[in-house]
Amino acid sequence: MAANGDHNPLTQFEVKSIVDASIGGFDISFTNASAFMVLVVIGVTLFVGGGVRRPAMVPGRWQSMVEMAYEFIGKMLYDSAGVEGRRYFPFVFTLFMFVLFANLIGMIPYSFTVTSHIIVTFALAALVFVGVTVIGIAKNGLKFLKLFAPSGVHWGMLLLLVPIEILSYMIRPITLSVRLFANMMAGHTIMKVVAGFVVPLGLFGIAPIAFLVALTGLEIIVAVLQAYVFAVLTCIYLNDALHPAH
Amino acid sequence: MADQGNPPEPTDEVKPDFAERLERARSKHGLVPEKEAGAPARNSAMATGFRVGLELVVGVAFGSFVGWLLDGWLGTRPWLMILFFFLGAGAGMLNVMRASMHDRLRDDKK
Repeated sequence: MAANGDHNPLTQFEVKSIVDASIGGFDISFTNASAFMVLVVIGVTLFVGGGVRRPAMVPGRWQSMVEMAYEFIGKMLYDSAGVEGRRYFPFVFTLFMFVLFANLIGMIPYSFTVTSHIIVTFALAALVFVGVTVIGIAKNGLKFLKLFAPSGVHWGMLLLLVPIEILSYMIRPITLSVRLFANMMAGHTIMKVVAGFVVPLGLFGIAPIAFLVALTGLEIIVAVLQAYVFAVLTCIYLNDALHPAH
Repeated sequence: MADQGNPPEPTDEVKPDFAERLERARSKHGLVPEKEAGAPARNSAMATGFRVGLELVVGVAFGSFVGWLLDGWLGTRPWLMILFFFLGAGAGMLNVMRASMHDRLRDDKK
């Protein structure tokens, strides 16, 4: 939020340019969004790298945290996509850690939440969508199209079902991105709106502060939960691509 | 961390009775098994409701949009948009059904 009396709850989402730059008419300025994405990447690297720097048989606290994250994603991927899914572990793990750290860093006051911008979440979801489709076609060839035609259905019914299946496949990146974006933006807006009540209410401002404490806890849950949902849906889509006939 | 080849829970495959004994010993001493601690609150009703609502809305909206695009391309305004409105609604419901069935399957496994 900007100083000098500007307490609009939406100013937190403003993208401001830090270093202006453009190549061939494209605006490639280094913005506060880019800065926080770099921060997220550095954060994840420090977290994972620091945890495995001195690996011990009996892990310390830090190593335990990293191993928990690793095993959590590993198990999730194994449960939903089977043994073949394990090849894509690095991808899912990176995605999960990026979204998780972006959400959690956004919880720090005065910081910027990268995932509260639809273009960022949509870029991630589009990456998942295109990647999964390419994997599906590369692994199964034309059999990948079986995903759109359920087996054992009369051909007349297929006429209706195939368009529905194709549409339901194509709305995946939209729901995937809108879910994360809407959760993050709504939560952060509510927090700022409630925070705006604190000072004008004077002594009674204690009530919105108490509410804000509860809300902060809820937002941290949402931040972790949405990262989990994003990763688990990626695993499910990966499973569809690896085993198209359902 | 380096060997990715290992399954997440090697104990399950190596010696089933050992894993079982370990589980019993852990629960006896109040150590919550990984399975329950690992998964975050997936049963959060609000999250489920939000997911279902979003799926339905996006289905209808995206279906109509595709129909509108096809209409503009083929010059058949408004018929394909009407058709795809319903197909989109169907796709949204299909996604909701899939999601809830996936949840139930996973819960049954436990």
